[in-house]
Amino acid sequence: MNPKARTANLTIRELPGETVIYDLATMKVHCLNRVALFVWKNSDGMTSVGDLATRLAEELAIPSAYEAVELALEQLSKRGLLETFIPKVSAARKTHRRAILKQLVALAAIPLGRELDRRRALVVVAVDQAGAAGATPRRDVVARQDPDVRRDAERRIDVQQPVGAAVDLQVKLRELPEIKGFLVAQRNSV
Amino acid sequence: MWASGLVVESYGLKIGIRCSRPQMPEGVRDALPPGCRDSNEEEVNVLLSFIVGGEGARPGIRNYHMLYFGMQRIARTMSLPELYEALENHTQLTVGEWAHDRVFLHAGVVGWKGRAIILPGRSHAGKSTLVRALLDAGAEYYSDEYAVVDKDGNVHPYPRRLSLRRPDDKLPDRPTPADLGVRVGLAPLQAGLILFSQYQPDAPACWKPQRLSAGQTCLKLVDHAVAAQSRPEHVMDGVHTLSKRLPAFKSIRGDARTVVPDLLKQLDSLPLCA
Repeated sequence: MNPKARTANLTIRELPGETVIYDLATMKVHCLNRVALFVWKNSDGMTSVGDLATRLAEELAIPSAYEAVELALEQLSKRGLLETFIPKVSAARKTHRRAILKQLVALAAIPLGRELDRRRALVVVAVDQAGAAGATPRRDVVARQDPDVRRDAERRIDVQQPVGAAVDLQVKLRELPEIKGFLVAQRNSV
Repeated sequence: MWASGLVVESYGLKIGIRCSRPQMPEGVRDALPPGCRDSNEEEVNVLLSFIVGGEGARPGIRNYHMLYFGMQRIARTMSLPELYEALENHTQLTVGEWAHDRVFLHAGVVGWKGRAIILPGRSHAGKSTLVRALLDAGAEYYSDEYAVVDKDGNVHPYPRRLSLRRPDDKLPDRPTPADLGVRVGLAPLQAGLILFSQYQPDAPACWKPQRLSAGQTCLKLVDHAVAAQSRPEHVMDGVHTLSKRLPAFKSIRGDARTVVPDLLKQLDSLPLCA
């Protein structure tokens, strides 16, 4: 099956040597270098992997273009930027491919920023959730309630012991003499 | 039930606040987005409802202060400062998300020799502390929380009260720029440099920022954009302009004061953008 790029629900911006794609379906943002962008743009569903590699080698003078195309397709597929599914490359081929990538890196055939993982040189996803920082969830939202409906339950009631309660209790238990007269005097003084 | 109200406009968004008391508490105004203007509009985009608590009619009963954002209760507290904090956070975030012709980034901003230094960072990244250190070195204050960027890549002032965390995890100190005696930027500035830095207590003493490519810068800026999910096209336009033109770096850092001289030297050595 020939690879076919997905184009729906994508917002694309081009920068010097790189292209940024915001996937509106997954809320992920991807940064493609020129090799990955070439493979993605030319994956039209009718061009085979071999033909992609041939064109890549001609256009960008990339050595080991076939391995580069395979790696790019695997990464693009993993990130949902292709409509067709690309199977993973076997472990044996991966080892061989790492060696190729080292060559490509050494030749500076792939523009790299210093922070890029060299094993993932072609397609970099630096933001896994574009909205992680935007529209910060309002963690202090307590409940959905209508402010026009007052609720008595929103009160906090501080139950305070009236002065003399302990004394009253002891009077009831008949441990102390009644002192009604004294209590009345206190109220009057307030 | 609603005894008072006011409407303000900020970056094209109309915010209404209604209150259960005839006198709107003074702290409400201070919590509104900087630069907002009073409006006579009766229809608003956002409605906040403030039920003032305090002592109840009966002894032994106190009512919570409550704040609603539309139909969502966002604060229920005995402390007015906490409520004002919630009010400030929600209104500023909402403005940041829906401002008509600006992109809001979670970032500190200072002005230095006619150019803006943008310091994107999440909560606890140390933005305010780094901003404070730059202000002490003579930079102009633009914001410690939001970089407000227009379509030409200029950064506009958003001089809210700074938020300086305290080691005891209580509410942060909220000095105004006047309290600190710092200069406040009044005019939009062309952006000069972007630094993504994260405070780490065990960071090496020698500050070593790493240069980012334009694509990496764009990704990281989208990650810090308030409206990244709700208005992706709008955000992409804004960050694309910045990423194309500006040098950007990332680093971990220790004490902010040790970073400031090198950071300002870095900016001084950069050519003015076209």
